[in-house]
Amino acid sequence: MNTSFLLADPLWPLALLQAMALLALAPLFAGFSRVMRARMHNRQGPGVLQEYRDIAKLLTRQSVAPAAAGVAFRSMPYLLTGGLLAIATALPVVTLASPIGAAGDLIAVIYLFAIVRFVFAIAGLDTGSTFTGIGASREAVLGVLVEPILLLGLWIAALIAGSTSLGAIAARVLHWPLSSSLTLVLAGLACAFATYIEMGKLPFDMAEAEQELQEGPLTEYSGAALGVLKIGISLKQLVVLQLFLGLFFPFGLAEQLTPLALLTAALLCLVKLLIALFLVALIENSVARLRFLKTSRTTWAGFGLAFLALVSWLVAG
Amino acid sequence: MTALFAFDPASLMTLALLVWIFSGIACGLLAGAARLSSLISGAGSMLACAAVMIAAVQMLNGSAPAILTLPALPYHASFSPVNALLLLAMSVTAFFSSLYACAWLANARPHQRARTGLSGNLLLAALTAAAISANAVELILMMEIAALCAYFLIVQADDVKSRRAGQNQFLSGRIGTLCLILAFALLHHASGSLDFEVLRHTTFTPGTKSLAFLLALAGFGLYAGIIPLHAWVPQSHSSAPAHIAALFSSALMKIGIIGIVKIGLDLLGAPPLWWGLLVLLLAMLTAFIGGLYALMEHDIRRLLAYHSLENVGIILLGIGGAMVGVALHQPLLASLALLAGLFHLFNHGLFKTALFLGAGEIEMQTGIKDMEKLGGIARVMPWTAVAMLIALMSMAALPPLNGFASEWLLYQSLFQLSASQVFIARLLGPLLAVGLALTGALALMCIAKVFGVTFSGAPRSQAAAEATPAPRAMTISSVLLALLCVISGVASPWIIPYFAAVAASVLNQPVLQAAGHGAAFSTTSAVSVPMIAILLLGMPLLPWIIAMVLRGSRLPDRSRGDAWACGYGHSAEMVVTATGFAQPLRVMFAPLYRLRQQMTPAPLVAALHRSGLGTFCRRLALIELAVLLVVAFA
Repeated sequence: MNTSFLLADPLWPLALLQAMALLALAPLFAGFSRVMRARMHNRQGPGVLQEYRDIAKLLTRQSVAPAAAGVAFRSMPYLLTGGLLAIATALPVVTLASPIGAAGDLIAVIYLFAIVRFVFAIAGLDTGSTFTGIGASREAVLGVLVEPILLLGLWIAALIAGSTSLGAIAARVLHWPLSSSLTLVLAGLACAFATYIEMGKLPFDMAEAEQELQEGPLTEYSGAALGVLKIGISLKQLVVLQLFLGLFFPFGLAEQLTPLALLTAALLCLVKLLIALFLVALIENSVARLRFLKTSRTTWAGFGLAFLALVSWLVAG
Repeated sequence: MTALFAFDPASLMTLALLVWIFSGIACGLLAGAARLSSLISGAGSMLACAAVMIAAVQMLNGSAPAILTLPALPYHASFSPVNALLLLAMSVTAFFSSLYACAWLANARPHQRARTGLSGNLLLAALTAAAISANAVELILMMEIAALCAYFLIVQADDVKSRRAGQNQFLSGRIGTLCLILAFALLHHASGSLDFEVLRHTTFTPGTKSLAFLLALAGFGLYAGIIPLHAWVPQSHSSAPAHIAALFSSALMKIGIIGIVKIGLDLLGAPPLWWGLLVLLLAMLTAFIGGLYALMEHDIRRLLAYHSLENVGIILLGIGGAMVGVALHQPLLASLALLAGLFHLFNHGLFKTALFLGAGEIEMQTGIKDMEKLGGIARVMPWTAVAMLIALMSMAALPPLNGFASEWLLYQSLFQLSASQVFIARLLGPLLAVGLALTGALALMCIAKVFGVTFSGAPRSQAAAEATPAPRAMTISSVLLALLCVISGVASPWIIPYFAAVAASVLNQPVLQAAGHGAAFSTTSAVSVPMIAILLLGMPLLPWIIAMVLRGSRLPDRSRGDAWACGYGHSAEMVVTATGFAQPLRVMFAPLYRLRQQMTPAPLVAALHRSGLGTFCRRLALIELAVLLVVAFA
């Protein structure tokens, strides 16, 4: 196979643009989630732009850290956000193919998420605080629970597409293969489950659980560092969600690079994200947090879905 | 007959072997003079490693496998690309271990110096000779000498733990050798020869083949530490000096792995499908259980040893995949899987040696192996911390480091396995990929634990608080290895073709085109590690710039006081320990952790570790080593 097409024409400007756009929009979507939450609680709540105001205020404040904290703690907000931006460049956001083909591989993306998790966890261990340490531990454990679900779901979708590149999977789902409908639906459900856990929403907001852990690894952050971290965490939710939407709801993504197609795709992308966030908010505000040590029982359900996808793929071929 | 001092592989190998032996003996004789003897032993070993490296590169560039007698030594050597690869993987890591040894030996007691210098160099010589052996007698003899040297390196601390570790290793090694002798005796009975070249061209009956394969798999598996044959691995890595522990992982266990490649793909002809499946299942078991048990270890070197097992499993996934590929007549799958396995074998040596040397530095400066008592080491030993961080990240296969480059290829070969037409391959492919991902997630948790608990936070003991940087030679050795990890990851598109050539020579196939245009690719996808490296370096600048632009009148960052503890006074005991960090998984995987107690036959262990047997093993090892050395020189 000639693989040079993956490298010959990388859409660098588009890749960087979509990463920056997601970064810029992340607080807006976080604000939207806040508004949704307030409405479901029958509260008025602050406006959609409140997150921007919070972050702008935090960025002009001093960062205070405990004496034991070192470089890992200081650099984490930037590394976390940077790692997520690197993933954002490789996602199919407005184009069907990943703008950087040679980074848009599902194994690479999963391991890039692992980097993000790693910096988050060691920053939690770096402070010498009890709460951050437990938060770090929980973040790592969630990784162990989620990774098999995410990988198996995506793997089955990739097998149907015949390639592990994100663009190929999106293209295959777009031209929906009828014979593999059940397999794709099951794989999509498993990935949706994993995506929801990765977004860190209730009942899975284990690492940053406000009441028990005082926001886990975030506990000791303040000022500018906390501001950057807030952007980073809302960006993570957006990136994870877009990975799922880009692969399993690629409808409307631009196949050719015409301005009209790109514009429609961009608008559709926003609409899809809003709808998905609405659904996420519905679930989030109607459940209570799981007991941490019992989480593994719930995540088995997700793995079960992925495994069913495998079985149906084996049967349907 | 080639000349002794020419610049060709045979002469270089002879030179290396002689230098190892004589510098080892000189170190043993001059043990009283600390600096001189450690310099002779370490520098001699480095010289020998350099010679082997040059020879290996020449062999990799050379053409057909050649069998010739080493000048001045009665030893038949076979120079093939896969041997050269093994030599390269061993000598690069041994070079840095020897650099570390220079400093370590100078600070050791004279008795310890004599013993470590001599047996360490002898170990390397024997392993190198085993790597180029041209027949089964040489291979088994040299592996046996290496295992006995390893035994003397393990038991030197002379406490209960190291005696037990040595005994485990001694018994495993003897059983392993016995299995190998039986396997090759069987092949000798069927073919009339023990030369690899003859065996390669003999056709065996399926029964003979399978029996020999199983025996050899057990024998090599004992050396490689395949679970459940791994009993000797964890404790022996903890008892031997750190640079020797590094050699166990990067050289001794690799001989076992390459042995499996030889027997499974090279000597016995095309493997039947079930051999490959057996290797794949054992590989997955080894990788998963190794990763799971590593998580519960506090002794940093035992933890690394369990990760060596995990990596042995990952390498064997590639080798098993290649065997399945050959059996199913899928040359692309076979080439890609073997390429991934061999590349990971090389990479594992780099990062694991860096890790063991780093752990040795910490141990030397603090006297502590238990990471619960460390903490805050990054402040006092920053270079060691950076080297260990990079090596740990390589171990967890994080991009853009070398572990990721080889594991990506492995995932791609598993993808091709999944896409195969045979049902069992279609079933196993996705499950193995999930197992690998789960192992990766466990490794990630484990490296977060190691780095977070050992290097970050506040010191947990007086010794950790008062540590000083290690001697420069030690720090340099681990930093350079970490640098090699980065290079072999970021530059992987330019390195992979060499490994592809080795894989092709084992399989007798045209070279697989698996890299180019700055990216590694398979028929199904591509990944460009250099591009990911650029993204990961460049992207964090964006939030940083935003923070700087919106700086306003902000005061500079401040670090002081204790961590917040809900208004209570902060005390060191509150901080999460390594045990606490891994606790949730101990609960979630409780049945698998209980397995260890259930599967260990307590009466047998008690019988094996009676004191009389230990002394007996020791005497037996000494006699056996003496006899074997006489045999080897004769």
